[in-house]
Amino acid sequence: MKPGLAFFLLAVIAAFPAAGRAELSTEFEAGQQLSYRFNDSEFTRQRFYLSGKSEQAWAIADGTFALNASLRGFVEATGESEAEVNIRSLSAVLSKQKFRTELGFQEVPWGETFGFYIADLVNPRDFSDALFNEMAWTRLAVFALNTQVFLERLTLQFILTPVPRLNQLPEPVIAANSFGIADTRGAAEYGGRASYLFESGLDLGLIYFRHWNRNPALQLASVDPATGAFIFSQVASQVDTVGLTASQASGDWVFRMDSVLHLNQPGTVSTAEALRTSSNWQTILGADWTDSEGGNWGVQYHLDQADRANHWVSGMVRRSFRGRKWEAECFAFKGLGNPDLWIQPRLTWYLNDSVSWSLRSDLLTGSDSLNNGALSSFSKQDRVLSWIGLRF
Amino acid sequence: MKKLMAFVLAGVLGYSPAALAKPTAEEVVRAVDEVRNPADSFFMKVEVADAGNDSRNVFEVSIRGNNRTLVKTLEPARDRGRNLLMLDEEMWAYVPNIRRAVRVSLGQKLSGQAANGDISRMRWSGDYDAVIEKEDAKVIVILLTARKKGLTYEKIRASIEPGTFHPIQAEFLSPSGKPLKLAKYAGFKPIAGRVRPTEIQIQDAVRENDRSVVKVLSMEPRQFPESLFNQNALR
Repeated sequence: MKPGLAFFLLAVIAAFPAAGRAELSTEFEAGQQLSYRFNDSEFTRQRFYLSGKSEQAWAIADGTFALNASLRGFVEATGESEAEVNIRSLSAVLSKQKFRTELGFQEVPWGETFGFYIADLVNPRDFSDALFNEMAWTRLAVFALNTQVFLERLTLQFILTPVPRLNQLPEPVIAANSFGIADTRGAAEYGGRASYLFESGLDLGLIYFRHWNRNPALQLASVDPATGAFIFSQVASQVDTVGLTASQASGDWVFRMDSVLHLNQPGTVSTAEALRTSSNWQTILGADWTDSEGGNWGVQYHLDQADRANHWVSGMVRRSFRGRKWEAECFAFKGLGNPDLWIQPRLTWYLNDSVSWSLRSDLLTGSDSLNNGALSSFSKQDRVLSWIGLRF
Repeated sequence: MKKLMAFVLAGVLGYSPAALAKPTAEEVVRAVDEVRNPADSFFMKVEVADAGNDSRNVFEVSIRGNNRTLVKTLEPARDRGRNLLMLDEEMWAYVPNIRRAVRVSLGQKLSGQAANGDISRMRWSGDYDAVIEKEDAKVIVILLTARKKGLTYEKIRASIEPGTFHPIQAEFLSPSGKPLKLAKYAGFKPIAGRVRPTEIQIQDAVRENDRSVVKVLSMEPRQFPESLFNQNALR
C-alpha cells in the first residue's frame, strides 16, 4: 500500500475518538518476529510490527451502525525492503434486528477445523512465508459486500467481492501487481453460506463460492539469462467450490468437520503446457476435548484427493501452567502412506498481562517427490521462530 | 403473579409472609431472577478477580432473553479479543490469532472459578425445575434441576431471603448431588433501578482456596438487535 494512503487510514483511526460518542474501542500491538532456518543458517524473518484496531459504534433505531478499522505496519530489520502497511479491515457495518451488512475491506472465515483452513474461501492468502500459517497474518482482506440474514436458527450469508485479489506468493514469482489484483478485472467473486443450528446443537453449514484459485499454482514464465534461475508466474483461474462445515459440542468434547470440493482448480504447469484444471476434494474431521484445568487436546484426520488421495492425521495439545504465566502448545501433522511429518512445539511466556515472548519451532520432513504428500517443498526447512509482543 | 405481587408487597410493608399464600417454587425462582436481572435485555460490565494471584479480568456482557449472550473481554490486554457468544446451550469463542470464532464446550472457564455460565447465564427460570426444600422466616431453600442438557450446572441448591428474594448463596452440584462450587451473593446496593447483589464469591467445593469474585461494575437495561448475537460480532 502507498504510504500516503496508509497515513490517511491511520488518520481515520485517530479521528474516531473525536468523531463518536461512547462505544469506542481501540487496541494496539507492537512486536518483533525473528525466524532462523537451520540448514542454511539464514534469518528468514526479522520484522518489527505495529498494529492498531479501532471500532466506533452508534446506536440507531432498531440496531447499530459501526465503523471498523484495523491496520498493520511492519518493517524488515534488515532494511532489504520498504516498510509496508496492510489493511486488516476497513469497513462500515449496519446491524438491524434480522440482518447485518458489512461493506469494505474484511475477512470472512467459514471453517470449523484447525491447522489448515480449507473452508476459508473468501480471502486469498499471503504465502510469502508458507510455514508462517497464523491466519491473523496470512489472510488477505478483500473489499466485499457481506450480508447476513437471520431467520431464527437459519442464517443466510451472501458475499460479493467486486475487485478480487490473488494470493501473495514468494519471490521471484511474478504477481499480477503489488496489490494482488487479478488480471481479469470484472470477474467478481461471489457466493454464500447457509447455516442451521439444530436443537441438538449441530451447527451445519453449506457453502458455495466462485472465486479465483486459492491454491498457489505456478507456471514457468522465463529463465533469468544472468543466473539461470527459473522465474514463475502465478496461475489465476476461476474455481467453483461447494462445501459443508459442521460442529457439535457434547459435554467437554467438540466434534468438527470441513469438507470442500473445488471444481476446475488449476495446478502448477510448465510453460509448454496449457492451463490444467481438475477437481480437488479436501476434508478434515476432528474432535477436541477440554480438560478440567482448561487444557485442550485435539485430533484430526485430513484427506486431499485430486489426481491421487493423500491422507494425514494431526494432533494438538495446549495447556497453561504456573498461573497462566506459561502456555505450552504442540501441533503435529503426520502423513499416512506418505513421509510427511511436521512437528510444531511452541512455548509462550507471559511476562505480564501485556508482554509475551513466544518461541516456536517447525520440524519438517517431506518426500523427495512433489506428488507424494504435501511437505516436499519444506523438507529440510527446520527453523525456530521467536515472537515478542506488546499489547496496549 | 398476583400471589407473587402480594408476597412482595407483604415483604415491603413488613407483614408476615406466613399470613399470606406462599409463593410456589417457580414464583420464587422468577422473583430471584428479577433481583439478579434488570430486564429481559440488558448490558453489564463485570470484573472477575481470582484469589491468590493478582489476576483481574474485565468483561462487557450483553444479554438478550434467556438464550443469547455476548461476552467481550476488555482486560487483561493479553486476552483482549477472546470474546464469547452463547446461543441456547451452544458456545463460540473468538480466537484472535486465527481471527475466527470457534465452537467451544460449555465447560470452558472464563477465569479462575468463574465458568462461562456464571456470567453469561443469569436466569434460572426456564432452565431449571424448582422444588422448595426448606422454608422458614429466615430462608427459602430451593433445589433446581436442569430441564435440558448442556447447562453449566446440572443441579443448584439456592438459599433465598424471604420477602426480598435476595439470593444468599447457591451450591452448584453434580448430577449425583456432589457439591462442585459454592457461590455467595454480597454487595447488595441499588443498581439499574433496584437493590441487587453486585458481588458473587465463587469457591471450589473441595479446594477452598480456589476462589473467584465476580463484581458487577455497571448494569443497565439495553435493547440489542438479534443480529448482534452472531459469530461476526465476536471479533
